Amino acid sequence: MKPYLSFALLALALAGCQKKDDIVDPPPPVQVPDSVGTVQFRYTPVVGGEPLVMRTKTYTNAAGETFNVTAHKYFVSNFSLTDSAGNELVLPQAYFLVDADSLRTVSISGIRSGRYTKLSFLIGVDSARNTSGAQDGDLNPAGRAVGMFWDWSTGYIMAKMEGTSPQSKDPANRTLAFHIGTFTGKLTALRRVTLPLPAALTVKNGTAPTIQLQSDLGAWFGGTPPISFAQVSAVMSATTTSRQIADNYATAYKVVRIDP
Amino acid sequence: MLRRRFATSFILALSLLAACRKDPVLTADGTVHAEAPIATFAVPTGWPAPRYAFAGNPLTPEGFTLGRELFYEPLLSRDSSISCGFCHQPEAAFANAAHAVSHGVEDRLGNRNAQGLFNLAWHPGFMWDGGVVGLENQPIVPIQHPNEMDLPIATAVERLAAQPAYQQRFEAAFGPGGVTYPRMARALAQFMATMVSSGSKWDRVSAGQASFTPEEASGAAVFQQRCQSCHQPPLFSDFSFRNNGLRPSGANDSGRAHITHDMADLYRFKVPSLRNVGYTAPYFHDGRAATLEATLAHYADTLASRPLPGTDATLIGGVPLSPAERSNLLAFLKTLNDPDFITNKAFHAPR
Repeated sequence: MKPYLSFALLALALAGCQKKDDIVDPPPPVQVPDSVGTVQFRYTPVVGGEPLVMRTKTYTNAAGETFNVTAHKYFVSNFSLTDSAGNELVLPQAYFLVDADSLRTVSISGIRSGRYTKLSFLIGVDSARNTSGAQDGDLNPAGRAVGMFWDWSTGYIMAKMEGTSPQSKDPANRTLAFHIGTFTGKLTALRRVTLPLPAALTVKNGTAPTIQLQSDLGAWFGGTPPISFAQVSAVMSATTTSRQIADNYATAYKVVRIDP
Repeated sequence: MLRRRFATSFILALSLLAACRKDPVLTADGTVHAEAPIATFAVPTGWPAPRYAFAGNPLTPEGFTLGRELFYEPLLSRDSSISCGFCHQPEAAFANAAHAVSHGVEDRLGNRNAQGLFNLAWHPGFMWDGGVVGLENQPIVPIQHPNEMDLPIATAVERLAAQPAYQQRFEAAFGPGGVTYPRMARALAQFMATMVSSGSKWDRVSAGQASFTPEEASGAAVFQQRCQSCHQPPLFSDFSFRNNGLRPSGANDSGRAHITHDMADLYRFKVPSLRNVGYTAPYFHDGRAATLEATLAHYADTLASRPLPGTDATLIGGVPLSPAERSNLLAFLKTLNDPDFITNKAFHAPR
């Protein structure tokens, strides 16, 4: 009984605010289930357009140094879609970890039906989520996000690449470890990406089209001058190098196609 | 004001009711039996709103007692030798009595003094450098740190999940879903946030229920004039980061700059609360001052004779204190001790 009572009271209170001679607006249309749909996302890390091959394949960076990749992960979140009229729709909250060692297709449901021409998302985890307590799901540092959380300086590693290089500054193990994080200040690693879709995306009930994206790891170490592993082989806090890498990977995403 | 007072007394009444409840206690053999008091949370009259307001983590007796169990759980260290309570002892207001820096597994030494734990719900950040934001994000740090408990958090969760008694207690506190990291952090946050210390003589004097001795009153006047701008009541800290002119030690701890990467923050550390300061010796971020007398001597003597560049503007030239002022100030500082807090069984090891 109680919720009805409070609702009735609220309605009365609201009605009380209405001037007598006002024309009462019609009630907003009730959202019916088939006005929303699902969109799937699949991120594939690539180097030079070819899917990233972990561990066994040797790559060359812009400084001419060779390397291989033993770990590559990043977060994506805060999605939005924009229609051809320029109206941006913020999608229901979602945080996904992309792990080059276990690629998967993820999905967001409850998206308002429509035809959309642009996709936007954040690479990383927004500042509010970084500081709002212990997180679960893809953000669980004891689960999927293991090794993706700085405990001593609260915050997620937004993106990471680990590997080895004969030219690495680390003489003992020849390792590379680029952990790109920090959500505040001049060195923030957060980058927002907005991408045109190659064809209009139709969202409607009963379908779940998949947006196929690529992220180019080869772009990470570019810039002027490019990053040299002989000079920096490890970044484990916010530095000007981590900022350069974040600037680089902000340009490394593209939508390759939409699968119906 | 009236409304706030009403709200406070309402919460207080609720807490008193809740305080009558007894909670089950997990014993080493996995059986459960009564009794250990529980604590609840209330904002003391006149205090600001807490930063940790149990958002998404409603305080329950089951959550609180699970948090207490975890706080004293040695399984959370790599070799199962130490718990949070090892370096945060009740008799020291949950600091580490007589230890300059904290001891971890295998007697490994850290760089910093373990701080007292109380009124944590009001802190904007944790650790001497403020690097940890959010009370739920705090426990993972000492659990994983190689010089402290040295256990990957995923392993900690696995160890707890392997114990049927913990499965049962996690589900009693948080519903089906068993042992998870966020639940573990939330249970610990429930325990830590309820550690409110507001029962000192200073609190009673402020409420008009007691009065200072002449020495304490003189010390209070000195405190207001020369200490209070940083150590602001009622929490006795403004939670800013300042360089108090200590000579960098061998550890060359950069302090706040470690987090912000801003050279202006070099050697700045969080202003500690002075509540319970009589229990939390030794003092300063690296525990270099064994006594309160030595601590005052730094401000009064060392800062005047050996100033260091970068010292906080409010401390340039030192804080002059005559012998009489020092002894009065010490008398005043003792009024910030809260004996009821350190003897409250709700915060002690349950077994």
